[in-house]
Amino acid sequence: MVAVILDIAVTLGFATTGYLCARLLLKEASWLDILSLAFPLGSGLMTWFFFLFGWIGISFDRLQVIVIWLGVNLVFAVLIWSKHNNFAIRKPAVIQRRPGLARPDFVALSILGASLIISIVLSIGRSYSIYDAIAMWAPKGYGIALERSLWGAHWGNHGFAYPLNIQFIIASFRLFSGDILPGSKITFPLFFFSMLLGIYSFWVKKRVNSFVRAISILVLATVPTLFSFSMIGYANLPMVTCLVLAILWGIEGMEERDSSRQVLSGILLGITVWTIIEGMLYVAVVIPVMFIARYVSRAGQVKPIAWIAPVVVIGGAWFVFYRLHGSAGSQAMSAASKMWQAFLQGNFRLPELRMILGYARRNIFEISTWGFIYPFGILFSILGWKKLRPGNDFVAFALLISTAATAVLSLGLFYLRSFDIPGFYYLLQRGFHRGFMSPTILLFILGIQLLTSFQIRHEDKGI
Amino acid sequence: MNLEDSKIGIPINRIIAQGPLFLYIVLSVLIVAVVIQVHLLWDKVLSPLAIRVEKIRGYSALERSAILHIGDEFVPYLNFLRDTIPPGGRVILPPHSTRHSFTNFGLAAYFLMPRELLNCGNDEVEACILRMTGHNSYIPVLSDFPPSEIASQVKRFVPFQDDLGVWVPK
Repeated sequence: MVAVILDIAVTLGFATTGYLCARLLLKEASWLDILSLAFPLGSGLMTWFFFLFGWIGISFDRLQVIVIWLGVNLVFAVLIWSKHNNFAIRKPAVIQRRPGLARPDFVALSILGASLIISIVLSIGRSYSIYDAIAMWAPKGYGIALERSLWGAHWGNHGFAYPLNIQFIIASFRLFSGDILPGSKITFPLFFFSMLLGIYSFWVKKRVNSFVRAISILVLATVPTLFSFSMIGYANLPMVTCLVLAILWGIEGMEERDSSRQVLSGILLGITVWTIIEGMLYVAVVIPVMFIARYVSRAGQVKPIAWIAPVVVIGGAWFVFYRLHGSAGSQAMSAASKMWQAFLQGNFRLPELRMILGYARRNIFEISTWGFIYPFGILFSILGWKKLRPGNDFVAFALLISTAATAVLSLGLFYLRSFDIPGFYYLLQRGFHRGFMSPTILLFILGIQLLTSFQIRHEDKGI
Repeated sequence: MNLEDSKIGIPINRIIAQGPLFLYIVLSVLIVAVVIQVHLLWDKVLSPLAIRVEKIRGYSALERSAILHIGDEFVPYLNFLRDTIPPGGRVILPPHSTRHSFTNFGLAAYFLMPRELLNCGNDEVEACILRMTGHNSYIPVLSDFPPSEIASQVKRFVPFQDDLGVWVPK
């Protein structure tokens, strides 16, 4: 029972930081926004500070962790007070003008809440029981807590080749509660449901019909692959959560010409880099793509410094660490080097490329893997194709090219690994779904966004 | 150009003009999708997992990991290893191979922390074992590792059951 209380305290500790950061940046936000941002934002920022302080030699003891946490939150609190004069957050204007959430919203959110509980129970119940979670994420987190140091991340496989967000989250639970449940596995369902709430809030702000958004979020929540990944303890879904939230806040920030939301998007992109090594590549693709969306659509405004500075600061700190200590154990660097050598010899591995494309074509329509996401995403995109033209709808166009870019990158990463992994088809079977979550989710958000063009005439009474 | 002009043959604009009809169609399709997905999720993911989790709920987190990842027959041996090898001990593992998941350094670390782990190299198993003369190194039996005639030169065998056990300092 004590462990449960301590695990809840650790979770709330992270969420508090997330709330304060969101409050500092956003002039207005709904409670859905806050719930969605609190954990991914707070855990990502706090673990990054733990990492920085660890790097300069401060130990990862309970007292030091509490002092760092208090210090960071105190700074946020002072900044909030000096900027806004209060800690409460205002509802977005789009919601203030309307009567509030409608009945379908409450039904959907209640079902999501129940699903979250199921996911947490099963996630903790199965403990760390899938390979990457056992061999990498958990032992590294436990190693940090054991050695009271960042350098404890040498435990588990791949040395320091991976960013340490998830590992420090796990380490925090281990440090305070012993992680005997293991309470740290609450992290993964929380990331998934944070993403769902963020998407839901985005649809609310985009005035998607309340029945459509309520059922659509349940479509997304019940995709077998996504729900499975909310329980197994892999870092892929947390990374996808940060990336998707960053894209949505970035789009909103550009559309509304709001630099604060672009900073928020930049921080989330930085946390994406800080969560898993592929995150760096997704961010490197998403940033130019969003610039292109803005300039092709000639809508909104992008503030490059506000948006990119947080990515450079958060991601850059880890990248320097990675270059100093991590790249020797990196699978990605090894694969990239082999690919380059093969290219120089004129070997482009075209059969493997064809295999990847063929596998993708078959996999995305497997209902037991992705549910109906692809049929719907594609159908709704065809129905709303007019809005996809640049200049018609910035949001739809930005989502379209983000979807396309992340899909190409995901396929490209498999192509890269085909140069390094023997038995490549086995890798595709084992890992394709894990590498293809970002474009899948973005495509569905796009599809529902496009549906809004058909619902203007019969908008429901409330959101 | 709209969809009608493109001669795809779907009078989309006319359907859309119906307003509520289009909404009802979309909602119906989405609801059917949710029902099918919930069924699939329950059938393929939640139900099997819930049954397994229910069966192992009396075990510790570490034991649940071992049961689900390696098999429930491994748990008593894992507990034996954790009881026999002191937390400050050094554990000598076989060269990494796919024959036993416990030869994976990261995976073994999860189960045996805070004990220090070392893998013997592929070409130096004999030399590796013979080097382990210290009072702090332990060699668990995993498949045919370590060869007992070599291990017996530097260690004493503490049996578990069948051929399993751990070679401890003499």
